[in-house]
Amino acid sequence: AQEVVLKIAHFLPAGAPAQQKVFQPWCDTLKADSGGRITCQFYPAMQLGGTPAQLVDQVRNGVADVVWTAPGYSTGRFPRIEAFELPFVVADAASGSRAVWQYYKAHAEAEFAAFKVLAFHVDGGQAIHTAGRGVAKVEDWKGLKLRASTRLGAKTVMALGGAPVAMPPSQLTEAISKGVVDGAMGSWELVVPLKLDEVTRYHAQPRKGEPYPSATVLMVLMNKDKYEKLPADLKAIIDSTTGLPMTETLGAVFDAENAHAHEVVAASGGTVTDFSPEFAAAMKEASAPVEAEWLKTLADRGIDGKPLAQAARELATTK
Amino acid sequence: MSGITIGLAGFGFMLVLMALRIHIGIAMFTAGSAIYLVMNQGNLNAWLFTLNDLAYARLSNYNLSVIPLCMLMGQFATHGGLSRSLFRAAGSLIGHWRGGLAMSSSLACIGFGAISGSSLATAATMGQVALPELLQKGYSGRLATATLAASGTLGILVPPSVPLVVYAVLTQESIGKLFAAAVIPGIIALCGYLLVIRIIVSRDPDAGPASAKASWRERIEAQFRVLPVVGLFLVIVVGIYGGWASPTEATSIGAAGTGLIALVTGGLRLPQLLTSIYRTAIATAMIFLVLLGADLLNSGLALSQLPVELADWVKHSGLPPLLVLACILGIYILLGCVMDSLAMLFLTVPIFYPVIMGLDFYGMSATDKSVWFGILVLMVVEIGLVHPPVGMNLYIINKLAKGVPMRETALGVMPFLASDFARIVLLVLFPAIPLFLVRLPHA
Amino acid sequence: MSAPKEAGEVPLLGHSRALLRLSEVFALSGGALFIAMVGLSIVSIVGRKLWSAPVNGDIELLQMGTGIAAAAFFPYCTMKNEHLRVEFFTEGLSPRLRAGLDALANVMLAAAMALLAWRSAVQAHELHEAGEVTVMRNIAVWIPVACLVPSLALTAICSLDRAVDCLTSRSAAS
Ligand code: NA
Ligand code: NA
Repeated sequence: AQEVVLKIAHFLPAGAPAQQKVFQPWCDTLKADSGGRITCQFYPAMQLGGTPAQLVDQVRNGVADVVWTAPGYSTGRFPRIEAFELPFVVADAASGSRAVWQYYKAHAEAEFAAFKVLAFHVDGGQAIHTAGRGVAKVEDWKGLKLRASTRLGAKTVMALGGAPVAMPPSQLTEAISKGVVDGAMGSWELVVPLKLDEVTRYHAQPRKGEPYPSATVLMVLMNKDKYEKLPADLKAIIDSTTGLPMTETLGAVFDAENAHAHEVVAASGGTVTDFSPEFAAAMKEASAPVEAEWLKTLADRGIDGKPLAQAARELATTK
Repeated sequence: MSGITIGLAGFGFMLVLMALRIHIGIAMFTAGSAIYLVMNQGNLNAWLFTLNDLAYARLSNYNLSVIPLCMLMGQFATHGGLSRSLFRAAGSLIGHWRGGLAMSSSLACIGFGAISGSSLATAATMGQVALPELLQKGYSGRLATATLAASGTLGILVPPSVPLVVYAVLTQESIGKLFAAAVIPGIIALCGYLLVIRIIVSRDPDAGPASAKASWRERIEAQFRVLPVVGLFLVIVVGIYGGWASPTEATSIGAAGTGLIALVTGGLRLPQLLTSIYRTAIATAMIFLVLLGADLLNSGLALSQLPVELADWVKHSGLPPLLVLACILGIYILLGCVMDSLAMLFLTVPIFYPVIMGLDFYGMSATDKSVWFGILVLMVVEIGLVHPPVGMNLYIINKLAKGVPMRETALGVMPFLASDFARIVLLVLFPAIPLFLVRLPHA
Repeated sequence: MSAPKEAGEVPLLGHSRALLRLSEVFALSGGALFIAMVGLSIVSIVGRKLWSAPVNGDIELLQMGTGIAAAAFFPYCTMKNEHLRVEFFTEGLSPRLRAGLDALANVMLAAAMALLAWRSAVQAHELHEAGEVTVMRNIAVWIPVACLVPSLALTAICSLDRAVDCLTSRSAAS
């Protein structure tokens, strides 16, 4: 029987929930179902060299066989999928992930034609974590220095009146504790690994079921050639364990991590406040130019973004 | 062939290339390529595509920009006469002691080290300023050259420090934390060197005769001249530790500040500016070429799974962690006999770091462990700069002292090396010493 | 590791002199870029501290600048024979043999640099096709990558020149 080794690369340390709770169990399933013909080797924390932005190239060119990465790391390369990073689209990881998978199937397949796409998901939405003062009304945004992790996230911070600062996650905790930035706009799932609960006291988020100001899209890609060359039975095993099933696992794991982060924050005495309806409405209005600018960027590349943004919002609100 | 065998064979191949005068970076590049190709059964694609982003991904690293900025700052500081001012200021206070001028040059080195990230630059700069004066005042060639060769390492022992930047980049550790951790060990190093000088002159008074005592007026004037250095040091230290500047930004401010001082004092005109840039270019390019090679080598080794397996093996071998640490530090000292310090870092940290991180030392947290190991590595790397046969600082200082045989310099550094070894033992046994300042802000 | 050398101890041939001048131009351009980045850092930090307004995308600008400037330093360092080497094990060899090894080393350096120049050009082309831009300022990423190519290619030429130089008796005797 033919032996296949999948080299799986990603940008987080080996202990990250995505590896421990999604990819490792997936590999165990592959191994069991294939009678030991498929095995995995993990290359966490960019061990194969390069920066996270290059993971898509690494998998396209076969340096790695499977990567977990964010399309946003390669800004401008996957313009359509960015719709899910627009302000106030994603409400949680489970529904958002399902939505982004359906959106991909319906509207963005062409963008990823060079890959075998295994899953799409979202981080569950980015809340506002601050050290000195909370954010409860539009005026609170004025001059707020926040670390933003995506292009549209940074634009949203700017549109709301804050100053976005880009920095690697490894520097964030120190930067907040020393007052370089006032806080971060980031997903809940980052709070525990980065120890944000120790340096921020205020956490502002939308009310349950309402969309977050920003979100990050993530994806699992496989080298197309590697997949095509698999024997039919192994292809079938990959197919049955990826796509919507893997997307849903990722969504569930991220929601669980987000819930865990809420518990940690509560235990350490942090304050979590929900946006008031007025505040949420005011922020939606203030961030409208972000979408307008996104539409213009797409139009420059000959893409009509309006139906895409609309589809993203509709899919994301379907429970 | 298993991945481990391929990894080991590739590593051996690289050592052979290095011994045959192939540039260190290119030896790593070649061995990394070989491992890549063998691991991919001769398929060129993965290797070629890895090369696609190798140059840009590595060279455009934000943290690494500290290195050229540090070099530029050191160049400007030299042209601004800061090295001379430091030596004069210390000399006016303690030059009349026996061995006092040697001690002054150590003090001046730590002062210069506070705005220079390189040991070689510190040794060369302070050597040019202090050596002629020491020899003219009747200091023995042995004591004068050895003091400067050893004290030059204070350039990297106190922050900013290029080896710590490299360590931070290789291990994704915080530069700020590493710089903070280096401060107290750097001061201990200075105290060790002062003690060594004291002991030498008490046993051989002719080695370091006392000079004339300076008047209070001279002393005060001399102190005023070092105010710019103190100011710059405070900007850098407060900037990084206080957190309002990243290491890159703080070094930028330092470079601009030293540049301004040099402009005002008239030391920096067009010819000096060009020289500063050329020297910065050479120092930067020689580090970055090794960086490129090391990046490919490390990807190759990761592909072979050698570092992971080695770390795993050591973890489950039941060897006492302190013994493993002692072996690793010993390997550094041996490698330091034949290899450049920075090249050594690039070569070994990716292999030894996972080993150390997999072991338990005094129940330390992962961050504490990685910062502590960074400081220990800095100490052993520093030793490589002064111990014969290939200590770079020995060459640089000895070349400046015409008429002092290399043998004298080499023998002279022995007591200084003894103090280095004593300091390493101290830091191995008491991690709290380097970690004290790191933990301070959280207290 | 090589002990520091005196610059220009052997007179260079005409084409080597021209290469040295060209590598000096590259080094100085890189230096000017670094000095410009010092200015950018300071403007950004002052803006951030005083007005909560850092230079938009300061980090990505600095990253691009570092990459381009660092590559521009390679040719000069190569012309000056300053790249790090281990000389310890070959000190006993005859000057001729050592010169031969040095020529080999420089040929290998040239090959590696030519390879990197080629692959960086390919990468720039692919990034151009993909339309990738930077996060904050929407700068096309292929531009800084393409800026490395001339520096890497010149380094390859310079190291070939050094290889030829090693094989001429004048240098071998020094
Ligand atoms: Na220093
Ligand atoms: Na050495």
